[in-house]
Amino acid sequence: MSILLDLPTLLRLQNLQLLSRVIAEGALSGLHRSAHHGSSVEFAEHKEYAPGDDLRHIDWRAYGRIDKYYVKRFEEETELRGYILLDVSGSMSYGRAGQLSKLHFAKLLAAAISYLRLRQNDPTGLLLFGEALRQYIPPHSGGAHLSDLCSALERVPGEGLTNLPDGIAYLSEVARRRSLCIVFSDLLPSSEQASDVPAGELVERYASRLRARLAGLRAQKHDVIVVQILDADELELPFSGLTWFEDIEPGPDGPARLFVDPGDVRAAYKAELDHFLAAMRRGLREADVEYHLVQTSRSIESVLLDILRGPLRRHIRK
Amino acid sequence: MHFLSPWYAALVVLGALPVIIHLMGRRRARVQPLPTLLLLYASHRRVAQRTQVRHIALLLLRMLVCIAAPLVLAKPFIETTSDLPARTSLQQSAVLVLDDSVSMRYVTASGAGPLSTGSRRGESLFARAKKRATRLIEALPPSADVALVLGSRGNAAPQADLTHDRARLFSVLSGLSPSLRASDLPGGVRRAAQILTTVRHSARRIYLITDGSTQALQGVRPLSDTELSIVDVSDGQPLPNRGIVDIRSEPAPGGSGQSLRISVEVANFSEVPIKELTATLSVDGNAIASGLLDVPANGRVVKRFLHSFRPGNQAAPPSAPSVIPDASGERRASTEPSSEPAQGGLHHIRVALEPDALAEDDVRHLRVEVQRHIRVLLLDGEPRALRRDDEVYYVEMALHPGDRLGGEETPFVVTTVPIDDHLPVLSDFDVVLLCNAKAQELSRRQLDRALRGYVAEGGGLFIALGDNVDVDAYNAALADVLPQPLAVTKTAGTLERERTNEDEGKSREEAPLGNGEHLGRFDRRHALVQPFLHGRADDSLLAARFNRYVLLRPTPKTATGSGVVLSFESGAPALLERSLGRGRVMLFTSTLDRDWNDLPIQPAFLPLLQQIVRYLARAPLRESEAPTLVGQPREVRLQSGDTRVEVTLPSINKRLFERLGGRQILTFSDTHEAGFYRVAAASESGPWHPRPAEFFVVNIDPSASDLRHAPPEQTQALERPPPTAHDAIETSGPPQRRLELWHYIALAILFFLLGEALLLRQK
Repeated sequence: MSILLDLPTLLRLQNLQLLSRVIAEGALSGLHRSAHHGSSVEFAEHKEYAPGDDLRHIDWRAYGRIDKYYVKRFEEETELRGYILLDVSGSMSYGRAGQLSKLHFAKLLAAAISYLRLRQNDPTGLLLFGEALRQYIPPHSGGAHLSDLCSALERVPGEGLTNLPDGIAYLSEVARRRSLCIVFSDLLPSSEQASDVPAGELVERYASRLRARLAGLRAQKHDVIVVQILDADELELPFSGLTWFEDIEPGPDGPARLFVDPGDVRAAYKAELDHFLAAMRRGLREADVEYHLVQTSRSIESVLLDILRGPLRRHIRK
Repeated sequence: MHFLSPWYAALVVLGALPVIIHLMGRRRARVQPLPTLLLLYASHRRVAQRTQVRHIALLLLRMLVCIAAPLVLAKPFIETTSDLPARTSLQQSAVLVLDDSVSMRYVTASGAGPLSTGSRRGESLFARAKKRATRLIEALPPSADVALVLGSRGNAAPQADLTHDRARLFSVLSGLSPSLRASDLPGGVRRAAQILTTVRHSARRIYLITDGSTQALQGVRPLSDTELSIVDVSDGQPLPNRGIVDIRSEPAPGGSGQSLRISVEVANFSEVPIKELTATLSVDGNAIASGLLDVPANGRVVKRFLHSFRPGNQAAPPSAPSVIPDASGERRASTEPSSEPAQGGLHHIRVALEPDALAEDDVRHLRVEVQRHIRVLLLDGEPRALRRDDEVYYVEMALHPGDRLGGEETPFVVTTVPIDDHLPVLSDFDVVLLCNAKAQELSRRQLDRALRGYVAEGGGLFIALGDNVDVDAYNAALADVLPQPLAVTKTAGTLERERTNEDEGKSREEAPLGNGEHLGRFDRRHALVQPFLHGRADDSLLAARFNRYVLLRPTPKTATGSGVVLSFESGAPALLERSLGRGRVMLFTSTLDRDWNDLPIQPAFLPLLQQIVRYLARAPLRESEAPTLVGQPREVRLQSGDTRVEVTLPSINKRLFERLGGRQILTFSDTHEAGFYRVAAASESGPWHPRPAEFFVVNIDPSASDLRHAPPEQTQALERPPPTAHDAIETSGPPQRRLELWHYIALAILFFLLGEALLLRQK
């Protein structure tokens, strides 16, 4: 199946399990054409070259030293648990009309990665976390588990407030062995938390807390991948005319609102957002956490491909 | 404020439209959920204040545009009291007579009074007149044709043809400047009326744009078929002014022929008296003296300066002041002596006041020609071989004391001629002394008529009597010259000659013998007597003994201008004076030698005789020509051989006239500047020679100084009443000027829109 499935085609496929397979196969086919073939598999030992061995694995440095052909042999990874933490707060349900919402986008990515892992019998678990834990599916392997995961993903709506740091804390508790932790979220705080603290400071505090939790997860020797999913509207604020902007995560007193002409604040908003994203990127890099900023307007395959080129590459076999 | 289309003005309620749109927009604004609302909050907090101000400004600008747009359509205007004539806006053919005379140079100062000295900052009446003319042309209907005439003497017409071309009229107006000529509004009106004679189908109007002074409007008459409107650029405000209205020169009383009395008449044309006004006398460009004078309100004062020129090429004695006090007793100012008095000859006299609002009339010029020497002719009626016995011996000694004493030189050039000898031309002399001449000899030589003509032309004649005088013959021969007819010879004492011939026993029967008489009475006001009034200067004069003199008959009624200067103790006249024509005659009833008196040996004889000669020799100082006013042509006399003439104006500019061969008179008309004009002439290829005799001065017309307003009834009489009822309604009450505002509002709208665009660009 072609990697270049367009969005309408994807949306017509209501079965998430099937969708995950389509996406994953498409991404893998793209991976074959990549320039980084086999580069992420761990090296094991040398073996003297024999006809039929892959020429690409000849160790040319060894040939230079001892004038014989040796082929590098790679260690096939043993079973590695994987956890997918999906932010299912109300802010993730945002999506421009006719396009995938952030949550839908994240579900597809999560399903595709689950498919890839379960295909090679890697146990994969799922945490659905909003303001609190909605559902936790422990890691298991086997084809039937994919069905459970996809079913859970399909059922969960995007609603409520956000408390991702607690979700990460929960993950750090359940993931005791070295695991692969993948977080899908927009990493945005809820405005409900902006009671008497200036908005800018609140965002800063939330991001700092989030970075600390992720760094803690990394400190537990987990491989951590953070995929921040944002809509183009959030990145560009392309609206015009006087507009009531409303928080998508309403609190007990109803949603917070702001009446403003977007043209007046666009430049300041972009500066604020850039500052927020840069701080997040810098903090996660310092914590050795792989970070991907993803815009929902991109094709899912290309996003998955980018993720696969990172640490995840070591855990996925073709 | 009024509106041409008031219904549009009701649309100003549209000014609320932006507010309504804003409120509706706020209510109907779409709701947009946004996950990043916190970030939006943070960014909005940073720009909220700035954007709020901008939004309010935008709202205000849009409201103003919505209010201003209907106002433009409503065409608002305001009415103010106009300074233009009421019927300006009617259809007409108009000629503007713009007064460009010297009085229009009057500068109206703001704040300070116009008479304040040194304050010439402000707007001249002419500048104001140009603005008023410009506005008048603008106010005329576009179809009105207009011409432009100047109102000074020799009135030119910078736009002599009626035209609709406003740009051309404005161009002509902008190039005009005030002249120094006198006003001639009657001439300007006549010329304007001539221009309007070609108009057949529209109303004819003449607008007189002037300062509204009586002197300017003098002679202007209402016209039968043309309306006259007077535009008074002074707006009825008083124009106080002062100026020199006359300047004259005459020989200084009691001075020599080189002493000059310069009289200037200063007029104050205001209701405020002037105190301590400084007047400065300059000779040939050098300030010589200055003085203060007070001029009453609406009054005049004569200020006199006395100045002595050095005789000949010789420097004046250090002790002799060049400016001496006026002893006439008339109103005079203090004067200060100059350190370097000018010599005799041609001089440029300039008297200036402190400049006021009209500085041009505060200066006046005069040309004087001072004789370097006084030429004296002594007609000796009794010449003797022995000089000491000669009739004129003492006179010669008195006029030339240096010849005998080796003293200083006098200004007198004395020529002695026996009465029976060949006589020179009398006009070559400034003073003629007739000493003891026989009447028969006078008649025979026709000297009687010659002397009469000589005096009438300005000469000075001194008649001294003696034994040769036959009273009846004298009365017959010199009847027109003598101040008083002679009566009889009176002997009051023993004559010197009789005392020396006492042995011969001769005596005169006609008079009783005695001790003689002395001078007893002086005319203390007369200039001749002034030197003898101080201290004991008159002692020697009073000591003189007169043994014989001639009594006079009573003064006939026809003898005018005569008076007695010195009298004897008996009351009989000793020295008499009479004006005749332009000259003077003095009669001394005794002798100038020692035959009848001992006056010649008295110390007072020398100063008295010199004073008499100086007094009589004043004719050369008289101006022989009428003053030239700015704009008047001046005749320059040419000498044979003159083919080129160069006239240097006061501003140093030169005017050259060539190919004048054969002409005797050059009429020079470029007298548009006030001051001293110099003339030089040359033959075809010869060098230039100055012609001092043709030098002349030009002054402004003194009538221009009087800027007092013409009475309202005079101006009303000049302005014809409106011929129709419509005009009558329009002209009732003060004229109104309509100032339309819509173009200003339209301009404001442009600025509002520009401001809105700039605010929108700041997003």
